[in-house]
Amino acid sequence: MIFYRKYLIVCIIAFMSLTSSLKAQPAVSDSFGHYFLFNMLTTDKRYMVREPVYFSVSDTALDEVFDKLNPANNSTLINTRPVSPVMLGVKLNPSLRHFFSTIAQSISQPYYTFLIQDSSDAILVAMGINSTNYRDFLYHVVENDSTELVPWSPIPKLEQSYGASKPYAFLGKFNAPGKQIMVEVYNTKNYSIREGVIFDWRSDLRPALNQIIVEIKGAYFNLAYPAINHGYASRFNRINGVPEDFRFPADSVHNITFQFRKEETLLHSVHLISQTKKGPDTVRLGNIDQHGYFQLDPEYYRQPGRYELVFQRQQKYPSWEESQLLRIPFEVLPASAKDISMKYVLLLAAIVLVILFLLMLFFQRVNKRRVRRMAQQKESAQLKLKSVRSQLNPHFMFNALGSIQNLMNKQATDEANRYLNRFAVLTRAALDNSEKDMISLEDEWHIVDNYLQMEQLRFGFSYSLYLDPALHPADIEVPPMLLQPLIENAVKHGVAGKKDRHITVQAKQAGHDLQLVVEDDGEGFDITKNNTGFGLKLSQERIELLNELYPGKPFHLNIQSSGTGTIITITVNKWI
Amino acid sequence: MNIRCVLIDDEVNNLENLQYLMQQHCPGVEIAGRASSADEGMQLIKEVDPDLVLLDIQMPVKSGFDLLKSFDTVSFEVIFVTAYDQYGIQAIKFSALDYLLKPVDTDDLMQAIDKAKQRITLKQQNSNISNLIAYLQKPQQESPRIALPNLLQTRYVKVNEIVRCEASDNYTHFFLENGEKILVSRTLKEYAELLKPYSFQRTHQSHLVNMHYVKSFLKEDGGTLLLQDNTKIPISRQHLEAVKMALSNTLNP
Repeated sequence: MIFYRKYLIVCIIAFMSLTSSLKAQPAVSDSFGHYFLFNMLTTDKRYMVREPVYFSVSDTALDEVFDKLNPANNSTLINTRPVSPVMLGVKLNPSLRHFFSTIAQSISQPYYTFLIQDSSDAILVAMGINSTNYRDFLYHVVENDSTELVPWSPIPKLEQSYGASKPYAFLGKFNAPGKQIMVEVYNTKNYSIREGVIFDWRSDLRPALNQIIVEIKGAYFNLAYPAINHGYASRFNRINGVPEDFRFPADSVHNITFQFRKEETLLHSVHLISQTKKGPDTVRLGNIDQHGYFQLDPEYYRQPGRYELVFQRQQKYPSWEESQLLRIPFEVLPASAKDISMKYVLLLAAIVLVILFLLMLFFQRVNKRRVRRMAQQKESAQLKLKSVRSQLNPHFMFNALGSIQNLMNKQATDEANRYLNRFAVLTRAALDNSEKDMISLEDEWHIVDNYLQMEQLRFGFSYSLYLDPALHPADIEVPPMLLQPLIENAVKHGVAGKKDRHITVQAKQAGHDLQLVVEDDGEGFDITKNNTGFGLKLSQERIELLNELYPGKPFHLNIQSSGTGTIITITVNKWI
Repeated sequence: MNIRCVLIDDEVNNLENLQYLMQQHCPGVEIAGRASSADEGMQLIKEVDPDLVLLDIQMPVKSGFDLLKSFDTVSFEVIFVTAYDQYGIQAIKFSALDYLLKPVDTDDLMQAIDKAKQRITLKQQNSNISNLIAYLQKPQQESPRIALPNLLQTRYVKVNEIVRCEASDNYTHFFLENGEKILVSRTLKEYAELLKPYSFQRTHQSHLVNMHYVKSFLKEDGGTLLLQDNTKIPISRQHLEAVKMALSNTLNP
């Protein structure tokens, strides 16, 4: 709270020092002129804000100061009062410029400061002290806030000059080059009636640096000590202590606090000049506070580059007069290799992990899909292979080749040729048809004929093929080698090795149904027993698959078997 | 002295063919008879008491194996003839018997007949056939005996007594549970296939291991198997996955 108030005061000073000069001397540009200045509190009717204002009173008509207090004399200002009944009036070199400065607070009373940089005199009068009350007042003069040049003393003299109509207190004509003088006046009966003024003849108004406090992660240190300053600075100006090579890696410093000698009477503004990859820039960063501190927010030096803080006395406009500037340069280096590597390694590791995780998800999914697809492919391949096997049992194939070998060895060249040809037809059909869903009944019949001829060569049975004349075998389609395993069964189990046995294969039309019948006159088998061979089982599986593929489940397998033979019928409903 | 031979096959063509080939290429073999079914064959064998039988495996009603099973003692040599029979060939190989594939290759035929001749003249007891019959009678048995022929004799060893096999050129060393070592004049590859159904796993081009004898899997040298007899068997990269799979199967059957 206290701080806030103080800060507020600083603002008011700044405001005041600008506005009052404007209001007080509208005609005389910004030099002091032939006036006495009086400090008053007043309210402008237009704003109704109570504020301190300097009134200038001509040094030839000093009484006018009392007219200011009379409401009748002013249309815009109301309730104008001196800051104290002492009514100190200050007269400085008329050509002096830049004389306003801040205020020093003496508990409740503000003491105003004037800067006199040309070593001219300052004349101080008190229009509130006159021949009737001068005994109630004491004054003293203090140099540099330490030496009391004049101890508390009675008012030195009354005079009547500068066009005044009555005597007033003359407190003195002061001059102390390079020094600061405070004159204080108070009423011995009431201490709250007091007023003071400070004249400052110092020529160097730059702030005096006490220390730079650097805050890093978990620690802070005074930059001036190379043993503990992390190598951030090694050379310092012998006179003002400003570091000449202040530098640190980006992001390593959390805060920099510049502490200056506390100045009651001066206010200093701060500018930051930066030269980074964003280009040059200058920003106003406020003031050194009343306690002499300026804290530099890390926001302002994140980017690597060269920086310079410039401190100068607060004025209406910065003068940038080199002799009045305090420059503190520093450099922000690119983040150190260690920091970079640590940061980048972590970042990279995080990215790599995320990517790995995503890849894993992705591959898992792809893999799952691939496994599923492979399983499907394997299944269908197995089915195909099974059908190839069923179409051309390897046992049959190699036995057939053995038979052909025999024909060759017997020098039965013509016969060997014919059977080799049959064998080629069957092999080709088996290979071709494994890719086909349907072939014509005519082709199927051709294959059956070839197959039976081959088997006949091996086992010597007889067979007959019957094709219903009502059928158009070229136009009717059937699944390739549907009959093959059934005929093979008939050969193997029905007639093999018995010359008098017979196989009949028929294709018949029954209404719109197609009937395919394989019949043998062998010993038959017990169809109730679950000893159905590979061939029959395969035929059943195939028919189930076909029924899944074609609507209405048109395929039916019927087996009749007795001691005198076996009849197997495949009926295809509504096929013709 | 001529060798008396009987041919048994359900296909007349094959009988004719075999007879023709033997007459052409195998001097010193007399065809004592032909039969076209297992039953006829049995009869024929009893009648002529042959030295050698060329026997088709797949015949209607009764197979060639059925024929053999019906004899108490087999006093003749057998060469099997088959068109295509994976299971049958596995059984034959297991007992180190000879077989021919149709259509018959003349060189194979001559070689098989020569070997049979040797055994017949040496009057060797043909225990391979009883081993085959034992194998066939208990088709799913845990541990059949496998015939391990070397120059002097044929050993019959239960597969679960074999710890591991190691290749040495065209020979294979068998290491048994009792510490015995048998050298067999066949390649490791043949046995790798034969013994695969009995938890034998190829770990390396020169090593075949009975996984039941594995003590632990060591990570050294990219994978090594430590067996119960503390021998270390290398695992090649090529076989690593299969070995791991086989190990998990052995541990969690």
